[in-house]
Amino acid sequence: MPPRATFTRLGRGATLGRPGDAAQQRRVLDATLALLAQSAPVEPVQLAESME
Amino acid sequence: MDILENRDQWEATFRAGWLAEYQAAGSFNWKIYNRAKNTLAPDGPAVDLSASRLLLISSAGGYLPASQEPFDAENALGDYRIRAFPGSTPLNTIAYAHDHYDHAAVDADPQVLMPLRHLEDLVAEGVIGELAPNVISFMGYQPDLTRVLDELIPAILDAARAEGARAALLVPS
Repeated sequence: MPPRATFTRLGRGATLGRPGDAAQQRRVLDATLALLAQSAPVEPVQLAESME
Repeated sequence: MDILENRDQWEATFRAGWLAEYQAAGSFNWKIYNRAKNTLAPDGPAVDLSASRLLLISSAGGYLPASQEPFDAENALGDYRIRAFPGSTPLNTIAYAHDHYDHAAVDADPQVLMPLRHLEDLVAEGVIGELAPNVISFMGYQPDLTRVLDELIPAILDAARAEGARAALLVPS
């Protein structure tokens, strides 16, 4: 496992969010980068983000 | 800690199984591919991102067609090289050589895989101290983990040191 990671249900090819959905992409980025504030390793975080 | 635990065992299984079958029959049998699973994750101290230089690493196969060769996306045994290009690159000048994911989303909106403008916004907001000058890019279809360990990872580490990075964000594809 990586030292810090987030997972979503967005699927391959759309890692950060739906095309054109900048708000969703930022939510994924913000949540992922926020993990840097914790010492690693951090348990992987499942985000409630999907293509729906 | 080892980047890949039980490397020798993994390599023996890979060579005698998946690789041998591919070389003999020319076909992929992912049912016998040994997907590595480490028991330990790397440790490290917390990072104050607002005072750090962040390096974006992408496995989406991005490259600059105007000045760089594409990754060898059709190679069944993978491509283990990296490309570097400026983080200020216009998104519409980046192409993606990677045959193992659907490109529909990245073609419609590159920031789903290459969030350069979002990261610039985060710098402007003070969330990130600064961005490394270059993005490190590779093509993430790499079935031979010994080559990942011996070729890809050292190249990325050398690049990260050259970029003066204190933190890294890997966006897989």
